[in-house]
Amino acid sequence: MASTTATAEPNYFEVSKGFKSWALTLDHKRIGLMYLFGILVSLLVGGAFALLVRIELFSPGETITTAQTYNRFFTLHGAVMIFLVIIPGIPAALGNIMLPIQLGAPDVAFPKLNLMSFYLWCTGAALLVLSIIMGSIDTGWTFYTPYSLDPSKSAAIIPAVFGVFVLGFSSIFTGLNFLVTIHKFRPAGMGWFQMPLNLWALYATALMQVLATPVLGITVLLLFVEHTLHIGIFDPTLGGDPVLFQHFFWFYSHPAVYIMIVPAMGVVSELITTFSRKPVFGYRFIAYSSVSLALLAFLVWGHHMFVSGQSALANMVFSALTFTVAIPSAIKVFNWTATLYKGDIRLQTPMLYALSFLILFTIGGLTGLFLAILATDVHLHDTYFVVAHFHYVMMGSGLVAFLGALHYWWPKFTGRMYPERLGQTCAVGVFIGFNLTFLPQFIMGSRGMPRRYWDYDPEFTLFHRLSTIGALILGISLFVTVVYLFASLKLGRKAPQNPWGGSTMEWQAPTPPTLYNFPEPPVLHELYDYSDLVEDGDNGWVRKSEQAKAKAKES
Amino acid sequence: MFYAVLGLSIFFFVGITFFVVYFTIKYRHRPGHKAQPSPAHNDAMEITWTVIPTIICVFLFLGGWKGYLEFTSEKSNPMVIDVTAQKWHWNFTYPDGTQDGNLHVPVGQPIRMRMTSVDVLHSFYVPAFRVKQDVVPRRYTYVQFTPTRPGVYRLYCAEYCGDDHSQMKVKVFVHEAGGYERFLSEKASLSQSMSPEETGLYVYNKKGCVACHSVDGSPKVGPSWKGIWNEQVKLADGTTITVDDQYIKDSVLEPQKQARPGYPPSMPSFAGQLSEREIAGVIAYIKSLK
Ligand code: HEC
Ligand SMILES: [Cu+2]
Ligand SMILES: [Cu+2]
Repeated sequence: MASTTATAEPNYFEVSKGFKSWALTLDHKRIGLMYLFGILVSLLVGGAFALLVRIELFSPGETITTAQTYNRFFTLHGAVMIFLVIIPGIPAALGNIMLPIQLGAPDVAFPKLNLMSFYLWCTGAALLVLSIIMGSIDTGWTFYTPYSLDPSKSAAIIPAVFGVFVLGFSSIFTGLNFLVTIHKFRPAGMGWFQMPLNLWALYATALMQVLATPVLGITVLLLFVEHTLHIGIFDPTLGGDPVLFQHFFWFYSHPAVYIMIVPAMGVVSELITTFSRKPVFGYRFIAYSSVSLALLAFLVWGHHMFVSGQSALANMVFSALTFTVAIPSAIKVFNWTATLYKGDIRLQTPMLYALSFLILFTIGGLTGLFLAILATDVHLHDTYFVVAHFHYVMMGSGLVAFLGALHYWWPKFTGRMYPERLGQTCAVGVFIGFNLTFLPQFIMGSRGMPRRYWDYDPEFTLFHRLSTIGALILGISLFVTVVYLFASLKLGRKAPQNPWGGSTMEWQAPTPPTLYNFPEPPVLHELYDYSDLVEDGDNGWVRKSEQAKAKAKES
Repeated sequence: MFYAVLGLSIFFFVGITFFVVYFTIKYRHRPGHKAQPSPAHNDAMEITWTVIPTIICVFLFLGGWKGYLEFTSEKSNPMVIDVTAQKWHWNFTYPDGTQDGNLHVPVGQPIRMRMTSVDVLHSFYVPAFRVKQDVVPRRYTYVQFTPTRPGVYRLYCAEYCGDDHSQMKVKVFVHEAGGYERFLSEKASLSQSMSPEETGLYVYNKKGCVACHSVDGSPKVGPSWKGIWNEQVKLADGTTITVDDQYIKDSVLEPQKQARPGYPPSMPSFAGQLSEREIAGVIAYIKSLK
């Protein structure tokens, strides 16, 4: 059988050992793993800030800390989660590990650039830590001017802004690398429409990373220049325009939302087809909708600014354009649901996450309609309704998909199985905790509870309490997940080559893969065709045709 | 509009959840159950579920746009109230020049708020009236509404503006016929009857000085007012100056002109926001803080 011959060659953990072999590695899997480690640590840090925010809001007035500290908590929660966790989560960590293997390729196109992206990420993270030491930013992750121009806060804002700048470059390089890899490293016979949907999504994401992130870079650079040289760009007292900052900022940060969600859609497509043993329904529609989301994402930034003072005409145009992103999203949800039809559905942990994603993304998407409609957005803007909406999209969809993908590919790149029962329990815990946290926030928001408030009116107490309890459930589930994943590295059962019966190319690589992924060139099978795959006890899934071939050889 | 969209959303949500759950149960893996073939795509179906959401979106957009136009279009004969937002309080100037930290409006009267900020972005938000508009420094933004029911409502700042963002909330009083006029005259007689020190204390609490100045010697953003009267203070240009009537008045009107070293240049000018009477009140109040 393929796997027995494969184990003859050392896997990528065994080829070399020692600190230097990791620190200077050019292997995409090792780089991806280091990213993953950094991201999981950041996830715990960002999560801890979230819990502090929620605990403070358990009661009106001061619960555990002052307004000043609270403002730092929510700023750090946002900055860490967005810049260090969700944006690099699927592409830089899991994408790095899986993209070349899904292509049947030995590595990404530019391994050295890849390593550099990783070190830029580390530098950016270090700068954010530095800014915490320097007094910490309290501007919100949005850095709105002129608040963020306060010279008394320069010491913390300059390193933070610079950190975001550096993280931006890390993201751009990763995007560039992926674009070239997908263009150049597709094996013979894999046309664009034979590519797994995950690769379509990563491609669309990379496109946005390369096109949008420079704008963020320029924006924060201008902020930096204004702080150090006092040139009036955004500062009204120097003749600048504070609203201009919002335009620049959202020109990046709206696409950034899609940098977070499109890869999530990609992995969910993979999970749903594998665990329902059915080809993805309407493959082309899903592929096209990923790319159209990537392009439309550039045209809707103004919907964050309906009450900022921009003109009524601009509001009209942006409102109309915003609806156009609803349509590809809706198509995807319908197609995923249709994929389940007549399938053979297995509710293992990755699938539980994928189904959670479907439901949470539906809620996130539908509540987005309220915010796209001008008349209702004016009321809901900057309230908890918005907070709940974007958590449904970014966390309920983005992070949940990341967790699903993590469990799905974990056996492949670590060689170990995670504890299935515990995984399922935590997945359910995440789902329940998440909804308990954010459903009450929709109600609060529609009743006028503004966001970023340290204090609130007593009528909202019940909702805030429910939300805090939900956050604790969510926090515990995530914490346990991270712990059992790390523990499984030592204690987990050895993973078979194809534990889930996936049909894409990565499941032909040995578990864990060798240094260049495939000891023998992989065979290109028809995409999402499960008819040839059968379960074989502890060996996971095998191809009938290969089994027969191996038998014939033996006898 | 809100309820129409809510209904629509619930319909789609229930529909999708129903199918997800139904398929998951019906086609769950169990011994003997196998995936059955079904078409991998169906153009007619996919085009249908592309076109239907598109049509719905067009209607939603038009509805929202219409609603938005209704409350942004100019009302006839509005009463114009000037709003100055500042960390972390609001100041409302009524057509006759009266100022107050809460918003008072007569019922049934179209109101137009002309708003600006002296420092960072704020946002004028009255949930009960369904209005929100950012308040931008050095620029006017406007918001309009017609209060229809007398009562007391909440006014929040909805754009994050720093430490006490969550305390930047005041009340909106919608008065019945005659109530608004009574408020104006009470306000006038109240300010006439206050002693200069009381006026100063009032200004200190209601015009935002309290955010940056303490009166007990403790440090805040700016220098404490306790015991500074008649003291010599150092200025940023190296000279010293005595804290007297003129210095206080100058500090209020042009704070950066005689800046103190070691403090950020964060105090906004209060020129045009404080009357002579009120400035005199501040002077008297600082004098009284031994
Ligand atoms: C945003 C913070 C802030 C607010 C609000 C503020 N101030 Fe100040 N104030 C300062 C700072 C900082 C200084 C010292 C630097 C300077 O002189 O510009 C100062 C200085 C002063 C001084 C000079 C005191 C001295 O010891 O030199 C006076 C008088 C004063 N403020 C009055 C007021 C009054 C009256 C108000 C309210 C109507 C007010 N300030 C509101 C920040 C503020
Ligand atoms: Cu957006
Ligand atoms: Cu505010």
